[in-house]
Formats: sequence, C-alpha cells, structure tokens
Amino acid sequence: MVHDSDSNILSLLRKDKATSIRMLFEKYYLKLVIYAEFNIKDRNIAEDIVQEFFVKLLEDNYLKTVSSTALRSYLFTSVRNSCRTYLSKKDTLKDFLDISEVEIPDEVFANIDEERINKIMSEIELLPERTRMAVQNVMLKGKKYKDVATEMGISVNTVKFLLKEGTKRLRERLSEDTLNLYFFLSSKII
Amino acid sequence: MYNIPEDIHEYILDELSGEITNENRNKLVCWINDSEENKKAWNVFSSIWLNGLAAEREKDINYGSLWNSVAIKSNKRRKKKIFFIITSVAASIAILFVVAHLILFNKNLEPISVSLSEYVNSIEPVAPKLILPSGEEINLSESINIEKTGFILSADEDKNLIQTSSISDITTIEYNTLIIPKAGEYTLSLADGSKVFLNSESSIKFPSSFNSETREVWITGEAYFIIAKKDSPFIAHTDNSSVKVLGTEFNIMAYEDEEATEITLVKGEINVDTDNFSEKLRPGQQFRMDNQTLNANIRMVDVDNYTMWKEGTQIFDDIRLEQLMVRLRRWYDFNFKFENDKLKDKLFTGGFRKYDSLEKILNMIENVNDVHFTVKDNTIIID
Repeated sequence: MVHDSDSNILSLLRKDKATSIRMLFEKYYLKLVIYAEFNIKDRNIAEDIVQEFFVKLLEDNYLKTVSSTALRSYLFTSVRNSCRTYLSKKDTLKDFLDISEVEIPDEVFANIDEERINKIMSEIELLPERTRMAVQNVMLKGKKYKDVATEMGISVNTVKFLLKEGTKRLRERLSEDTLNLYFFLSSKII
Repeated sequence: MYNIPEDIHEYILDELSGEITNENRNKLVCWINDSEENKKAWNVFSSIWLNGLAAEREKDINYGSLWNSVAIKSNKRRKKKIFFIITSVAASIAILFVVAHLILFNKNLEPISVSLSEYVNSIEPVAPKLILPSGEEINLSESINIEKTGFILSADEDKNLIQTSSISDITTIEYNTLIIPKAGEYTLSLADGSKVFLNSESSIKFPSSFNSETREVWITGEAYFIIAKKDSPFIAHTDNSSVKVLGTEFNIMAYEDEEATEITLVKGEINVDTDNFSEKLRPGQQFRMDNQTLNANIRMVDVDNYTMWKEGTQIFDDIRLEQLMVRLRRWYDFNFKFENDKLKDKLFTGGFRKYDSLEKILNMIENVNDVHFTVKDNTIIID
C-alpha cells in the first residue's frame, strides 16, 4: 500500500478531519500495534491501546498543534506513554530498579514497509524446511518456543537452535542487501 | 555481516519473542549500549524480525471494519476528554541507573588462553586413505585417478570419490576400503548410483564392482546413505547390525566410542537385523542399540538431529560433556583429558557448526558453564 506523506495528510486535517485521521490510521496502525506489543508483550492489549489512541485523536484536536516533521515521533511517543500507563496500572509493585528496557528506535517501526517485508519473506522461503518452520512459527506468528516445540515434535532447545540458524542466515542475506536502507535510520527524520 | 556473539544472539531472540529473563535482558542492554556497531546490529536484527512479524499481521487486518469500530467509539464519547500524556521521568532515570550499574560491574569473560589457541592451530590435518583390493594404500590429499581391472575410482579436490565400473561381467568381487580420519569428511558415489556421505573417523568397505546379486558395504563410524533403487538389495553392515534396503535414505551411526548404535530412516523402508533382532523401520523411526548391553529398541525421532552433520551442523540434546568432547575430537582431532571427573557428567544442549573454529566452540562451552580448558603437553586439560 502506498501512503501519502505526513505533511499531505496533516494539511488535509483542517478540511476533513475524519479522512485525514483515517489516512494516518491506515499508514500507522500496524506499526504502532507492533511497537506497543514490543513494549507490553501482549497483542490484544497492544491493539486496544492503539485503537484507543486513534479514538482520542478523533475526539480531540491535539493533531492541530503537531507539525508534520514531529508527527511520527508524536504518534510513537503517545503510544509508548499509553503502554507505560498500562504497565504501571497493571503492576503497581513493579520495581523499576530491577528491570532495564531494551530500546528499538521508533524509526525501525516506522520503516516497516512492503519492500522490506517482501525481501525478508522471499529470504525466509529459501531457508531449509525445519529452520523455516521454526522462523515462521516464532518470528512471523509470534508463537512461544514451547508451543512450537510441541507442534514440531522437537525440543525447545532445537527450536531455539533452528531459529538461531535461520536468523543468522537472514542477517547474512539481508544485512548487506538492505543495510543501505537502515543506515539512515539514525539520521533521517521526515 | 557484523558479528553478534552466540550468547547475545540468543538473548536477542528471547527478547524479540518475549521470553527473556530480566537477568539476560540486562546483559543484552549492556551489549547494545556497548558500541555504535552493536546498536546498529541490534537495530538491523530487530528490523528484520519486526518486518517479518508485520508481514503475518498484515494478513489479519481489515482496515475498513477496524476504522468503523474506532469511529463509533469516538462518536459515543465525543464529549469526554480523557487523553493525557505522561513522561516517565522517574522510570527513565531508574533505567539510567541500571545501565550505569551494569556497565560499572560488567564482568569480562576471560579470554581463552593463548596456548590453547596455539595448540588448536598446530593440529595438522590427516589425509583420507583408500585401500585397494591389492592392499595398496593411496592418500587422497589431491585429485587422483585410479584405473584397475573392472573399475575406475577418481577423487577430486572437493572430497568426492567417484566409482565407475568398466566391465560388467565380473565373477569375483573384491573390496576397496575408504578410511576417513578425524576432522575429515568425504562423499562416495558408487557405481550403482548410490551415494554415501562419510563423517569424520569413519570407514566404508565397498565392492570394486556391483554384480546383479547383492550390493554389500561395511561401515564403521557414521554415514548417511542415499541408495539408488535396484532389483538387488543393498546391505550395509556394522559391527553388530545390518541394514537391508532396496532404495532409500538413512543414517547409520556406529562409533565404538559412542554409547549406542543408531540407525535413522529418513525416506523409504529398511530392515534392521542384529543377532537377536529383526525389524522394519518406517521414515522418522530410529533403531537404537546400546553398545554395552546390546539392548535395542525403535523410537520416533526428529531425523534432522541425526542427519544434519552432513550439512556441517551437529545438534546435541542433553549430552554428557565427556561424550561431547569425544565428538568434538572426531571433528577437530585433538587430545583431551579430564582433571576433574565430575565434569564428565555435566549435560549440554545446543548445536555447533563444523566449520566453526574449535577455539570458538570451547569458548562457548566455557561461557555457559563452569568449565575451563587449558593446554599441557599437547593435550587439552578440562577442569
């Protein structure tokens, strides 16, 4: 799917709020869900949080004050804060000193796109059968090691080993091809 | 490709699949923050992972109906304004503390001793050997062509030995033996169209030509067979068992220094015979016989675990350290000795690629367990 640029979408906001937010929804919904899921490790709640966020965008007029260059980071920061609020409500006893957070830059989520998906999917097709099954089940379908092990009739450790082999191969095949796409990760903000 | 250490690779997978422990997450965070290269490698890795995840998720999404439910909710609550943003300054500061703490107290893993590395590099490879019916021994260190009565054997530089028959009406069958040393490997293409992959420290005795009656070979060590379908049965013998087939793929592991002889069927059908056992195997089944007690049974297995060696990967599931060292010796040809006998029973699970350096593998073992390797008198000492 080809999407309009953030600035085009925002310029439509004054004329037709619903349409412009719907465009944002189609452009960012999946990315934000995956981002929220990474933060809270629960797919259903991640979907609820992002849907709720868009409900609020429709209700309120926050977007009017956001510039097109800051839009993306506004979306991700908002969703992240919703996730934090959710987590702190869920577990008020959580000791923040005991855990650290692994960060993935917003750009990685924002840069999820057809081209990369297609490249990765065609590389996955080339993996040896067992390895591919492990990768498809754990990475693509988000299944637990244990469930995949039972399903494939192998041990959890074998699942992990196959997954390791598979991702190693994907890195070998994809880093070089696509690294150029990733290099501007840290610098490009549009 | 930027190198990611094995243990970190595992933590990354655990983190992305949501199954990481807090302790390992801390280690991962430290590694990511350790350098710009690490950070970049992590970003690329997670990008691959997340795009893959997105591919699957995209299939489930119906934007039209999702949007409708969002719009309906918003209409209902238009008057309520409850959205607020918090920035968790406290949490961020806490994280900074954790990271600083981890960086300050990060224990460096001890590098493996120089002597070990020197020793590993000093090991000279031994050439595979071919013994002809006449008793003549030939080292297969380079490509060679052997023409004898009834057959031609040509070895190439890629460790393949190819047999072709030159006459068909041979009355007496003579035998060649191919011996693969430790750290070696070879494939043998027989004149009947069958192919045999030989693992390190293995041998095969095979006929110099194939008549129409039987096709018989004798194996020590480990071999993977792809048997060409013919009217005459193919029989593979080991010291204590034999496998009879017509056309099929299977693996035999029959090392003297292993606990058991294992015959694993990948495709087709085989019949396994021992002195007191005769049973058919179906694909996915394995015949396993204890080398001491000679007790045999048949079980279902993940055949990949037993055949991936021919692609250069060996998988271990709960194997004793002593057994693991025996297998590594087979691949890398070195001497070892346990200073502390208790360590022999430590269990390991995991896998190695044959083309990883021995040093790297020993290093991995050291990292996951309280085991140390040093070198004394050309022997790796384990304590």
